[in-house]
Amino acid sequence: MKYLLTTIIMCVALIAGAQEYKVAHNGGKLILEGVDDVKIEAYDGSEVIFSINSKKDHKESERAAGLKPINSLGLEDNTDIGLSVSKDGENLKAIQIGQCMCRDNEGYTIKIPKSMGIDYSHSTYDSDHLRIKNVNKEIVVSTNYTNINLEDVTGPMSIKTVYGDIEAKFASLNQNSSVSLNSVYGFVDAAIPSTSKARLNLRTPYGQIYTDFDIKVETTDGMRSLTDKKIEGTVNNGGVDLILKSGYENIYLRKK
Amino acid sequence: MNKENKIIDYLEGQMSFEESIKFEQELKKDPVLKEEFATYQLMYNEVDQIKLEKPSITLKSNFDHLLETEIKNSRKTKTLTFRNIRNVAAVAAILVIGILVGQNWTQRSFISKIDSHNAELVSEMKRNMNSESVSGRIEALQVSHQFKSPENEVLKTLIKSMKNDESPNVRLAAVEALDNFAKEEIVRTAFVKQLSQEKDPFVLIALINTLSEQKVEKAIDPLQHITNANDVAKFIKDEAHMGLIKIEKI
Repeated sequence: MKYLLTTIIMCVALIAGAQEYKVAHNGGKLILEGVDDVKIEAYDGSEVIFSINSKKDHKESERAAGLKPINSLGLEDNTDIGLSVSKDGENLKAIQIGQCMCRDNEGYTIKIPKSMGIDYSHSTYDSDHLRIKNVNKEIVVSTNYTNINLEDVTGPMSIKTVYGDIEAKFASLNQNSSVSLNSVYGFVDAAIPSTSKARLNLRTPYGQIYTDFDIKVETTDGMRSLTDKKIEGTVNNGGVDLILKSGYENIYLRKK
Repeated sequence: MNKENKIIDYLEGQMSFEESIKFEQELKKDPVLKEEFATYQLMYNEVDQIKLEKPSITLKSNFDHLLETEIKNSRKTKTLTFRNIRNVAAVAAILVIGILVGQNWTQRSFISKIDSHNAELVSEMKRNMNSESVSGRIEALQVSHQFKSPENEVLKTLIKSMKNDESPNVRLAAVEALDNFAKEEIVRTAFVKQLSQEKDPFVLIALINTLSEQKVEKAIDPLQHITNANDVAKFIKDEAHMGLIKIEKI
């Protein structure tokens, strides 16, 4: 019965086009360069598991038969899911080779051990979203067009995107190092527990700042600088640096 | 009694009525005495006008003791006379100098404490800039917000990060931190130079925004170069174009 169930699951996965690549790794960080539409979730395990739902019609052309796709660095797909994955010191590095083999905007799902941080960079139009869930180690993101959604994270982190929106829901606010969320043309929306201690730096030259926190605004020689474009202050008597900036859109800092 | 003693006795009210009348008559007749008297009178007036800072309890106690000893030693009169006033004035001068030196020392001590605090901050900042963590380095840069006026070492550290840090996130944080000191020529020059070297779009936009808000004319050439470059994204060209408009030179 057990074997039958396993066989059925495997058949369903194959029919659905699901593919997986696993590599044992712990600690350090997962470096992702140019990987489209990624969902990352931390779990209690010791392997990094890349999975993808391939396009049903994804086939190599007859002309390319026997050849391998490579990228500008000469790297090749060593995972059969369109990624070049390699160890980089204590880190694990994954670079997408060519176009994503994934179904429309589904992208890659990656499970990482809880001991790992993330360093994600993407510069083209091809990645609509990045979702990160349940990661307690450092997250560094640098994108041009990707929307970023963070859930049950703690920081430290540094997120920047030119066109993307940033939404972050914090399980707690790690007091070890800074949290910064920056977008030029997108909004920044952060929800942190109401008891979080933070030193705030909020700035949006052309947008509006919204919050339900009671912010203690910093004073200079007893004078408070009041502007709706730039606020420096503290919540719950201050703590780690929490930096939220948008060039042209609104900033939302809310209690979770 | 010589002239000097007469003058002093007169000014201190030690003469009898008859002696005073006689002395005043001598003054009218003797221009040399009159001139000498005027000098002493001026000195007395100036001594009266000296305003002493309130001394500390210890200093006052020491001074009182010294004064008492001096009075006991003089034995000549129970009242303080100009003869020993010179000594008293000397002591008073020492007292005043002591107070002024003390005040100066206190100020120096305060400034020294600030310098020491700033030096600690700079040292902490530099140390944390070696962190392997990107957010750790960004946090180190946030220390610069504690400096209301630009410290040379702080500016150097920020500029070095803006130019050399491998993470664009840290370079962006460095530009944003330097934005607080954008009126400094060293910062403006570094920004202009970085315009032609920076590849990250977000950092470029931050540079363009600061330079245009500050209306830095030296940025015009590199901004025009960006608007005409083939390998630059359109949104960066748009920002550069807007920057040129803000500098009002287009």
